[in-house]
Amino acid sequence: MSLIKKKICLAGDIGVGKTSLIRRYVENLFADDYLTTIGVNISQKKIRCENGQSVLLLIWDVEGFHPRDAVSVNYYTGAAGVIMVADLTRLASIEMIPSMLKAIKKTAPNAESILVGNKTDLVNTAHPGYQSFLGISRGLGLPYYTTSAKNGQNVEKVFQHLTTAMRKETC
Amino acid sequence: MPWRDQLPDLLRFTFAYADKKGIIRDYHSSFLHFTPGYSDLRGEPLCEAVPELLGMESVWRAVLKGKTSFELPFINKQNATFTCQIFPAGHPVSGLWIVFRDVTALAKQTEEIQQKKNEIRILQARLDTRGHIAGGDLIGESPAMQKLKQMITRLAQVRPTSVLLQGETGTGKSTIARVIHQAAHGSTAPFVEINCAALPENLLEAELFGSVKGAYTHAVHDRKGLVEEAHGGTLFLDEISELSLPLQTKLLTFLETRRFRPLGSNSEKTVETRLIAASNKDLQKLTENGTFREDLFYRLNVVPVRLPALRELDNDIILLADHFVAFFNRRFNKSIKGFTSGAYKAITRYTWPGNIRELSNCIERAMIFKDEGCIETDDLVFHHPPRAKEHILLPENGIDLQELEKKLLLEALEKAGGNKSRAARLLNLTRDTLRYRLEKYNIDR
Ligand SMILES: Nc1nc2c(ncn2[C@@H]2O[C@H](COP(=O)(O)OP(=O)(O)OP(=O)(O)O)[C@@H](O)[C@H]2O)c(=O)[nH]1
Ligand SMILES: Nc1ncnc2c1ncn2[C@@H]1O[C@H](COP(=O)(O)OP(=O)(O)OP(=O)(O)O)[C@@H](O)[C@H]1O
Ligand SMILES: [Mg+2]
Ligand SMILES: [Mg+2]
Repeated sequence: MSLIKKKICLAGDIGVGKTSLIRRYVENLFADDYLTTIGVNISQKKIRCENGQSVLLLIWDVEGFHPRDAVSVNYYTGAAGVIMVADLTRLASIEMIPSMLKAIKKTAPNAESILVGNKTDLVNTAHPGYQSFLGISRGLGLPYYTTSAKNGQNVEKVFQHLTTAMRKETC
Repeated sequence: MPWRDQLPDLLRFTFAYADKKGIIRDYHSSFLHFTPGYSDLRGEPLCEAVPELLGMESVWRAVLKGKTSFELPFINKQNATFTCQIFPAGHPVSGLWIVFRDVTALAKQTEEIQQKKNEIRILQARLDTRGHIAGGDLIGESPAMQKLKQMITRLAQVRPTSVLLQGETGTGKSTIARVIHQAAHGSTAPFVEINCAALPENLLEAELFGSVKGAYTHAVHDRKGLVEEAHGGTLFLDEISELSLPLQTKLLTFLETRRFRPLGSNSEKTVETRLIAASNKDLQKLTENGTFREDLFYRLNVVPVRLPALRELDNDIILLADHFVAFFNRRFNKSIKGFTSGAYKAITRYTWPGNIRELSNCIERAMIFKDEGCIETDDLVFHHPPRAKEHILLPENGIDLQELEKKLLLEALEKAGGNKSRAARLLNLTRDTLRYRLEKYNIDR
C-alpha cells in the first residue's frame, strides 16, 4: 500500500500557540518563550489508522493571522484539514475566528475544520474567553476542543479527531 | 560544470519545469534538495515529489488559465527560508516554472520587526480582555444596573460569603455569577458550575459531594465531588430551587460547618469555597409552601441580589440592543448598521419575558438573515407578540369598558413598579396620555 499524505494547516491569531501545539504533538515538548513564526514551518508525523493504513501528516505551522497585514492565504491551498486556534486568554483571538474561517474556506473549500481554544491552563470556565469560545464554536456548528500545549491536555485528541474526519477518503 | 549549471547556486535559487499536467520534465540538479527521497525527477508529478506542493493541483490550472504566478512567500527549511513561485512557461503557455529562491536574510529582518510588533499586540489584547473580566462587558447604565455593578465590586472584596441571585430567566444570573468569580478569584481559580435541575437526586449527591469506591454499583473509584473541586474558588449552584429536600439539608450542613462527607465515606472533608446560588423562582414563596427549607433560604440569602427584568431597565434596552448588533457583526463578519427607528420602537415596546437572552436571540436571528443596512421591524420576531388585538373578545353580555381601562391602567402601573414611563410603554401610550387617563380615573400613584 502506498503511503497516503495529508496536509493539515494550523491557523489563528498571532501567539495563540500554533507552534507550541505542533511541538507538543510531534515531539511532546513545550517551551515558555515566544518566538514568532514567519511564513510557514512544515513538520511531519506518521500515524497508523485502525485498518493498518499509514498516513503521513504534513502539518503546516502557518504564521499568525494579522487582520491588517494580510497573511497570504496561499499557504492553505490544498489542505485536507484546518485547525483554527484561538487563545482563551484573549477575546480578540476568538472573535476573529469566523472571518478567518471564511477566508480560509475560500482557499481550501473541502478542508475539514476543527476549532481549538488553547491555553486552558490559564483560564477557568467563568473566564469570558472560555465563554466566548464556546459561544462561537456552537454558533459555527464545528467540532471544538479546549487544549493546553503546556500540559498536553486534549492535544492528541484534536489531531485524532481531525484525522478521523479526513479519513472518509483516507483509510 | 558548464557555467549555466552553476548560475542558480550563485543567485541562490533553483528551478524545475513541469508540463501542463504538473509532471516534471526538466530541472536543475539543485532542485533535488526540495524533493527528499528522489534521485531523478523526470516524469514525476510535482505535488508528489515536492512536499510543499501537496494537494496543489488546482494551482496549476489557475496559473495556466490566468497566466499569473502563484507564490508561497516564506517556507522555512533547515535554518533557511525560501520562497516558492510558480510561473506560466512558454509562449504560448505550455507548462510551468517552479522556482525556489533563498530569502533567508529578508526573513530574518521581517522576523525581528514582527516579533516586537506581535509582543505588543498580544499584551494589548490581554489587557482588553481583562477589562471584560472586571465586568466591563456588563452593558447598562440604568440605576438598577449601576447598583448591580457596585454590588459585584463590593462582593468581590469580601471574604467568601453566600450570594443568592434571583431574577427571571435570561436576566443574567449565570453571567453575574461568572463576573463575581472573576473579580474575586481571578482567572485560574476553579469555577464549578452545576445545574441542580439537570441531574436526578441520586446522581446529584455523588456529583456534589463525591463518592468512595463501592458507594454504589458503578462507583469503581473514589471520585472527587464538585464541592471539593471548587476549593479555593466558586461553586455555582444554578436553579437551586430544584434541589430535593434531603439534599437541601446536606447543603445546609455544609454551609454551616464547611464540612461534608462523600457518599459511602465515614470521614469528613473540609473545603473553603464561595457559594453562589441562583434561581428564577421566588424562593421565599417556595419556603412558604414547604418545598424549600426556610433555614437554607436564610443561610443563602446573606447577600441577596435581585436581577432586574429587561423591561425594568429603561434605556438599557437600547444600549443592549446596540451591543448585540456590534457583537454579532463581529461573530458573523457582517456590518449591519443598527436599527431603523421603527425597529427601535418595537424593541422598547415589547415586554421581553425571556429578558436579555431573548433580546440577544432575537437580534441574532435577525442578523443571520440580513446582509447589509439596518434591522427593520419586520426582521424582528417576538415570541409573545402583543396579543391584545387577537385575544380580547367581547363577552356575550358585554363589559364595562371604563372599568376595564381602569383595571388595565392599575395593572400596568403594578407591573412597572410604579414607574409611569414604563407603564406607558406597556400600554403603548405616551407618558402624557397615560397621565391624562390616570387623572381621569383619579388614580393617584
Ligand atoms: N500557558 C500556556 N502558554 C502557552 C500555551 N501554548 C502556547 N503558550 C505560550 O504562548 C506563546 C506563543 O506560543 P506560540 O506557539 O509561539 O504561538 P504561535 O501561534 O505559533 O505564534 P505565531 O507564530 O506568532 O503566530 C509562547 O510563549 C508559548 O509558550 C498553553 O497551552 N499554555
Ligand atoms: N448586563 C449584561 N450585559 C450584556 N449581556 C448580558 C448581560 N446580562 C446578561 N447578558 C447576556 O444575556 C444572556 C443571558 O444571560 P444568563 O445566561 O446569564 O441569564 P440567566 O439569568 O442565567 O438565565 P437562566 O435563568 O435561563 O439561567 C447571555 O447571553 C448573557 O451574555
Ligand atoms: Mg508560531
Ligand atoms: Mg443561567
